[in-house]
Amino acid sequence: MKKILFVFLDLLSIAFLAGGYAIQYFTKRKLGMVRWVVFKNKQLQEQMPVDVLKYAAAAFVLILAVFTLAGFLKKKAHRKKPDVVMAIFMAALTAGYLGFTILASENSIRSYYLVMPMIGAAALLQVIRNMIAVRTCKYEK
Amino acid sequence: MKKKIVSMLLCTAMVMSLAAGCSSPSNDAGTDSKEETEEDGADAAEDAAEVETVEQRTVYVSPAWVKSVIDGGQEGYENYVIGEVSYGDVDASPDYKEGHLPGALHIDICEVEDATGDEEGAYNLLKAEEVEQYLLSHGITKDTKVILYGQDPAGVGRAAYGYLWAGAEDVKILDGGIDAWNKAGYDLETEANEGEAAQDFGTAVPAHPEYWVSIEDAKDRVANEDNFKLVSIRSKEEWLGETSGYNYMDKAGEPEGAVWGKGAKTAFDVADFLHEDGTIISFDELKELWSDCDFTLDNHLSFYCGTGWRATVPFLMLYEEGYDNISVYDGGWYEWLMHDDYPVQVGDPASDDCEHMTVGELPTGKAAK
Repeated sequence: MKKILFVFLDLLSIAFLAGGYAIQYFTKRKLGMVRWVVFKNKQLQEQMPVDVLKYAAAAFVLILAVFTLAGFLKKKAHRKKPDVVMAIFMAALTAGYLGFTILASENSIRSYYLVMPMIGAAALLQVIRNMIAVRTCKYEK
Repeated sequence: MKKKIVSMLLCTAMVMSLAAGCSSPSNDAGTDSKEETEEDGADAAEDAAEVETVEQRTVYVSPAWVKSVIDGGQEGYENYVIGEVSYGDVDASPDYKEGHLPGALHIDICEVEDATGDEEGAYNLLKAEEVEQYLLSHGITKDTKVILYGQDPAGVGRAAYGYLWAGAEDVKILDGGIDAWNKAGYDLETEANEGEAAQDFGTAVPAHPEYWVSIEDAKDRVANEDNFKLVSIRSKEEWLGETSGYNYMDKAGEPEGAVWGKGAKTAFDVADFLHEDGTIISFDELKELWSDCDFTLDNHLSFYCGTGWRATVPFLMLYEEGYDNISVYDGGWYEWLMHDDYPVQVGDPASDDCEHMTVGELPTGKAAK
């Protein structure tokens, strides 16, 4: 059951990353797409405090990731190699998400406001995945 | 073991997906070889030598004429630049990389117009100094003969209009685009070209500010000048206020006082101005198209559309016929929508059903699906 859940979360993460990639890909190539993206950016900025939300979301994911990593390090005796790989990937993805949130902007990447939540969602799913792994690893042989 | 392999594969796929999304596409344009076409090169050169000359203000030219320029068969056209116009940089332009006219540069449409869509830019022409710098980067001065083409006749028209506004004195468009070129049997090449930058454009930019009408002038002149006609080059559905035509404009209608100049079936074509093969209609056909419109060629015709692409096509058609009482209201419906107090009409002004209100009073939900 846990294995199925992990595969599902991994696939969902891939889907979010692929979605972000697709948005950026077409934004760079299709004028209609970039104009729709500009329109959506404007709508988002009018309807919600996106600049506050983006940092709040990034901080939330970061805190969860730190707690998860801390828990993972505590359970040194029980962890397995694939879990280590996924924990490293989670850390890298979270770092990438934070970097994207802080360093990029709407001016540098037109689809910033649409791609950022995609990467954030992928990072969050990986945090959840690793959190489950940490909480359940003690029951495994 | 199985679990380990699955985890590793998923991990690899995610890293690759992320890396690919953040990277630029590779540029392999310079490595491809030239393509051969069906026609014999010698015959084509012979044909090119027989092509007639055209006037400086002629905009739409045949593939044979363009070929004759490339082959050196047009006196006075030794200093020329051919540009393929599309959106995005050269790496994001598959059409250019698949094959372009010999010697053609890639020209990003954003070298003439704003890409931010904000209130200051509004997808209008860029500031004069920016357009000038882009022109110079391609080696284009006021005396350079410029030949443009691309997949979208309105996009190419937009660039040509911008160049004329800036001051390029001789701007041509390959009539029918690359399809017509291919049909004529001429060669393409895939090697990317870069122009040799020029230093001095040769005149103050813009040399023709009168071709460009601001939103303030459009509003003022359509209300106060009888001879000034704000001509909508939009589809019937857009003209009647049934849809904005665009998925990024939520309100539909037209500036109050505008007249309809037809031209399009949708927001993304200029079908009424084109033959089935994609070549531009003749001046007589244009006059026939406009025979029942609420303006004459004696009026000052200021064309507009959504963001100033489609509007440039009739501008260029009249420009090449020698008309000077023409301009483009660049901001179009997009910029008009930015002003809640601006007057609008919804429906055919000649009918009793036409409603008059302000932008702020327009209902939303009219974006194209």
